[in-house]
Amino acid sequence: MGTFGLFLAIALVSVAGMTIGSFFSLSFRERLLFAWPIGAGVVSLQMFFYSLASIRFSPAVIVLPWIVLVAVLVVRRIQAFFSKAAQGGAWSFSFSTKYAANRAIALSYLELALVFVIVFQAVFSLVNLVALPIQGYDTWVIWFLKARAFFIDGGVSVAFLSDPVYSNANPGAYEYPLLVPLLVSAGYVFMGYVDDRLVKIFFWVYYLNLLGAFYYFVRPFSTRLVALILCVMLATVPRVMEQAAFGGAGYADLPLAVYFLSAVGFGFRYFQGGKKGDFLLSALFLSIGAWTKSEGITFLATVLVIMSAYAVYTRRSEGIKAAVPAVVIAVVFVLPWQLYVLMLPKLSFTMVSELSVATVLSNMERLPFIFKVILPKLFTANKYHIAWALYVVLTAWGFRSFVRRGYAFLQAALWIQLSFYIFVYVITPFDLKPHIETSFDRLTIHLLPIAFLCMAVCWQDIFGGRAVGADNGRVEVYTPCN
Amino acid sequence: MLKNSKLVQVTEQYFIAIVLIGWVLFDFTSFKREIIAIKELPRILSLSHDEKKRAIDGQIYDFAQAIVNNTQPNASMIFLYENPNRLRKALYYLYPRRVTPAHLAVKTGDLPMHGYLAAYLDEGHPSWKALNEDASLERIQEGHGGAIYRVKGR
Repeated sequence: MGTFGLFLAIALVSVAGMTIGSFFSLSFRERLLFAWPIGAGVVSLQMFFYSLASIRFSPAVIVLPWIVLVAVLVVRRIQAFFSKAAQGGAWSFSFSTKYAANRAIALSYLELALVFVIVFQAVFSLVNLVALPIQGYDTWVIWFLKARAFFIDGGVSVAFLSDPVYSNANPGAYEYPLLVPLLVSAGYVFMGYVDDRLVKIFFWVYYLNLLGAFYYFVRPFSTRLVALILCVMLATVPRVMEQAAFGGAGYADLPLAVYFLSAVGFGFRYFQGGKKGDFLLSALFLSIGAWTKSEGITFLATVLVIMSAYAVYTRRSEGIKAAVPAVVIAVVFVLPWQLYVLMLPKLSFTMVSELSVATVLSNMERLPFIFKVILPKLFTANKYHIAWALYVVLTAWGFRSFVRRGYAFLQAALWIQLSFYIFVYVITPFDLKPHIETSFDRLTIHLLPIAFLCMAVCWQDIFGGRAVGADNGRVEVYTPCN
Repeated sequence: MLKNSKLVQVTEQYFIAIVLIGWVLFDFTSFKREIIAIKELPRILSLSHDEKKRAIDGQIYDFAQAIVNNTQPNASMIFLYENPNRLRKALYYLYPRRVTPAHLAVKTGDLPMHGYLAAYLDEGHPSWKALNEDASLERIQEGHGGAIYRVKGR
């Protein structure tokens, strides 16, 4: 089906995401915004289950369940509509132009300029991505090689994953979760052939998701101007652009950043409003994150424990009712692959293969060296421009934000995950400096959007959401919960 | 939070100005990189798919394509290589062919021979002489920095 097939794949993933989103407390616009990241998670998991059942990948078998599910939902919606009408309800549709009428967009010149930068970055990212074939080393040897093999084999196979020819390139690579390879493979299945250039459009959609989700989470408590400023800064971080438009496209870090941001964004909303739906959405994104990269597993464990503890502590039985389905969601996404990995040959030499109390204690002397290497990186302009410097300034200036409900959660999620990354450097059996050099700048991509979210909260707390801007400080109330 | 509303506004205005100026100044290299990429775009877009692949991967792309064109998808082969990165790139294109990598091997007699042998070695590598003199190998393709042999009787 060629290029048309690629767009069909994008449409399928989006429809799948919107369908799953309809089971959560998301409005239509929210479902649209999160359709891609949710859809990518569930469709890739569906393909993995097909592999377990020895069902060969084809467009028909991938699309079929979604057609059935959408049909069931539409029929139920129609039944509900006629049932309501039979009971004397009004025959009306819920479409309304009220929103558009009330929110006429009147951007200031500065806001227009910021919007222009975002649009420019998005267009540049798209054009540059599809102009060039894959370039990044890990894209070759891990993510796209698997995608190609899964497409050719028609599924995930132990034979391929355990073949030392393909796993020796990067020890442990065959144990990496499969969202990205299976998603790319889905693109190939719908196109009918391998095109590692066009399929990079998927990563462009993730880039749009990153910016859209960030603006969506920040805007309720921030002015439009501040939300746009931070959004532009996030959009232009060189390390983010590396994976959104340049040679790093095809790595799993950008998708993981979207999942991390969405998870903590909904988690923050849960801390603010206590809605069970936000808890479950956070769990959903955490779980898909754990299905994207191994780093997502530690993040899932950390954030789910914090949120569950908070939910149970503050809401007792209601908290338990939120935490239990959240754990079920996590199990559905994480357990199948973790069990599957048990069937693969065991690695004797991995990043954490030398984990022991003795190793940790004896390697603690590495810490000064680790900080000496990573700190200058964070404040290097051609990697992160002023992002981390601004984070330090706003966190210090807005230290009182810690009394705000949810803000400590954001900071804890960021710092605990960063601590895990540093911990791996402490125990790694690999040469430490090359290990840091080849990984740290990718790992920070996961954390940057959370850091920007923290900045937005601090900014709001420092200036009270009364920034100059076209909306004249008309900001939805940021619930002060002391 | 700053208390005085006027003071807040003025402070924030200055803060926004500082942030934006800092961002523009310190993100300059990134903007420059994008401008260079944009200038390159017309040239890149005018290239064919193979030309783009060649520009990024080098000769190994053409060599891998030559193997793909000369062997069945279920073929198995020995792949002699010097540079592991080039081997990785070749493996990407050669899948699902069964490839057994052999690093810097000189004596083919030591290798568990398969249907084909692909060699991607430097021009002056001593293995070339041994390969070309090996009576059990029939050279079916040469070029792009390597050679493909069919193993006789396989």
